[in-house]
Amino acid sequence: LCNVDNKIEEKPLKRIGNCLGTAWFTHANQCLKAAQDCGLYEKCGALRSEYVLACTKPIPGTSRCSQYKCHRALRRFLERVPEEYSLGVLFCPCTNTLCGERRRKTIVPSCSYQDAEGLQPNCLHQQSFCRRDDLCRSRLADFLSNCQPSTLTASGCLKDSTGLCLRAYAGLIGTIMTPNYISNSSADVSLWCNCEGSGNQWQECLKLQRLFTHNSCLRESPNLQQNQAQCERPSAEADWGSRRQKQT
Amino acid sequence: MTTFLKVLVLLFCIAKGEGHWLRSLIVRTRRSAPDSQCSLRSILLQVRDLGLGYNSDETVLFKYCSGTCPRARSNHDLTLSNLLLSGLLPHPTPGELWHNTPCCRPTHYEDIAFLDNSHRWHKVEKLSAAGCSCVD
Repeated sequence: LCNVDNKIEEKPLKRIGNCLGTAWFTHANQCLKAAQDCGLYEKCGALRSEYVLACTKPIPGTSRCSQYKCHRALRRFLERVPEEYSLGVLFCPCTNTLCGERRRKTIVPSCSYQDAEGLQPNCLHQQSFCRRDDLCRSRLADFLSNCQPSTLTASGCLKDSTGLCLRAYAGLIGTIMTPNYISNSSADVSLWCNCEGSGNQWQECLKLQRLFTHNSCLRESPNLQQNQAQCERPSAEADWGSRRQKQT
Repeated sequence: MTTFLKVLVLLFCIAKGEGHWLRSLIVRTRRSAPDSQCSLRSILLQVRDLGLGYNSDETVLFKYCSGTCPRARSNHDLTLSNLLLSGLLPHPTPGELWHNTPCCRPTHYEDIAFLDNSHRWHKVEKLSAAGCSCVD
């Protein structure tokens, strides 16, 4: 019996990916291109498939997904995949609705963002649930700190760094306070919550909502530019790294 | 001068196969195995090219196993080959292929997921090979 020890060396094929994108498509859909670049880098493709599977698989006996598992897999994706790929897929720039719709669907919002019955919690309630969870609390704190808008700085951010804000926003994805794009024709984002039943905390609730819907710091965050490096002619077959052979 | 002669003799032995242990040492230090051996290969494809009927522009890295397996002959394999050669067993018809050597097959698989052109997520279970081995 012979066995081949499979040590697959991962080669980020980003450069080749960009070339394939250039060769086959006219960049009309930046989000598609970002997805393709992700697919070329094995780690990104594999973890992306993992979260999609986690977010589309129904709980046995029901037709609903497991939001808990979906969120966990989303967090894994964002934590383990290099930013150039993960943030590229989340924040791809769009000029048409096809691109916008793909961008909106990236985090499988039917599971990770929306509620199964379509009900929205109160934003302040959502925030207090978040604060009770260690991870969500820290991610929220990062977001509030790094995405604090300011009218005095050029970047629109108090911390004068839009990169930090983008990362902090991405940190919320996969938590109780997961935000998402709300339309395929704009880059507007929002939490899945409303301010009904806020009582005398109405203003506070609106303020929280507006941190997502009307945030100059978040809006000014740069969309990641893909590197248009030199193009090599991509080979149809790529042999994966070195393999050690054991003989029994 | 004597060192030079010794080296020459050593090289001669290696060439002849007498220095078997030396040759195996040299072979071990060479890095990669020849390409034709059973190993994991990959090809970049568009999802539509997979032939499964999906309408998506996304690309996937499809991995598969191919290559030759060393002929680790069990008694069964040896006998089967002998019988084939001697004609005691009829040659298999094109439809019923059988093997008399181990073959290169995946040991486990990976699922993939992608968004189709109608913006629906799809998953295909066990699409790609995740590891290869020569199975008996």
